[in-house]
Amino acid sequence: MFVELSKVSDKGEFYDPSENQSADNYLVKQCLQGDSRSFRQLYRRHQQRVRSILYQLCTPDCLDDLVQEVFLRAWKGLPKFRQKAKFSTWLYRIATNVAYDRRHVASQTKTKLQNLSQETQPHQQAPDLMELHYQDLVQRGLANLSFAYRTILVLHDLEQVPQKEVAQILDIPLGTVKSRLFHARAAMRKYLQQQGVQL
Amino acid sequence: MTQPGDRERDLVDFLRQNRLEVPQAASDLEEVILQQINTISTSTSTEKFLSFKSSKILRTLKIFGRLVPSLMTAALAMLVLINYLKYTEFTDVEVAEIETFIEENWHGSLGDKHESELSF
Repeated sequence: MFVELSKVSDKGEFYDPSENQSADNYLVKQCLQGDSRSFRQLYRRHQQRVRSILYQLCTPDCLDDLVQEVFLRAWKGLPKFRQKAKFSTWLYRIATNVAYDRRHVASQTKTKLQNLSQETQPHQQAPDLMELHYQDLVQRGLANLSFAYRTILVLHDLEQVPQKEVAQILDIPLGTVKSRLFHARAAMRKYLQQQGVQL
Repeated sequence: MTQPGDRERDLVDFLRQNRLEVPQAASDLEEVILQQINTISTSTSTEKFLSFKSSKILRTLKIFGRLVPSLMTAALAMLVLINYLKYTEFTDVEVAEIETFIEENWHGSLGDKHESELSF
């Protein structure tokens, strides 16, 4: 079961409650002592968000493989994980790295429209054509962005990760996050407008 | 998260509304991952054990490597010292000569001192 990680603060910012963070820290310590059951808990707590990040960054047909790779890398890397950063931040960094690695491999995948028809059928019994069209546009728009811009847009705008944490995940200054976000949104807006979407 | 302006908000809302629904994980994915992790744990603990053993052997060898030359040097120095002492032992004649020399010098030095005191 996925435990909700983010909540909205008074200022409208999203954050990980400290309870979740300390629970993660405890589970990490247990894992470091060889307790794989604790890793199962960590998996259950974070897999949904990891899936979502990967799905927005990569070709969806290999999503399970990528999720698997992320958690295996996390398990192997746990002894090196310094608990100065949040576990989730560290894990999302692994996820973006995995997505980046896979991006080159996945360049020859099917068109987004083909993916749409395959992926959405099990979830939507009678999909609205306009809705499908917009989904396709968003996917195409994301695909048109550079990986740096796409990552910022996915993490911040779609996954609602705070800018500060995005900076930590990508290991870049906060100013760079703001700048990239501005340019990524502008590029996405331009693309959507070219496709006839008025925002 | 930083609050975007109205124009930005419209874009972000559009993106969120029209993002693809994330497909569900395969039913056995969790088990597959956990199995792999257990495999990794077993192999790494074996590797750790082996590396611990080999590191222990290496450490012992290193200590020996440092000790052996030091011990050899010390033994050699001892041998040289013993030999030196053995061949530098004074004979009775030499001892008598030395005693005479010391006595003469002793008196000489006293005599000199006395004279120097008078002249001063």
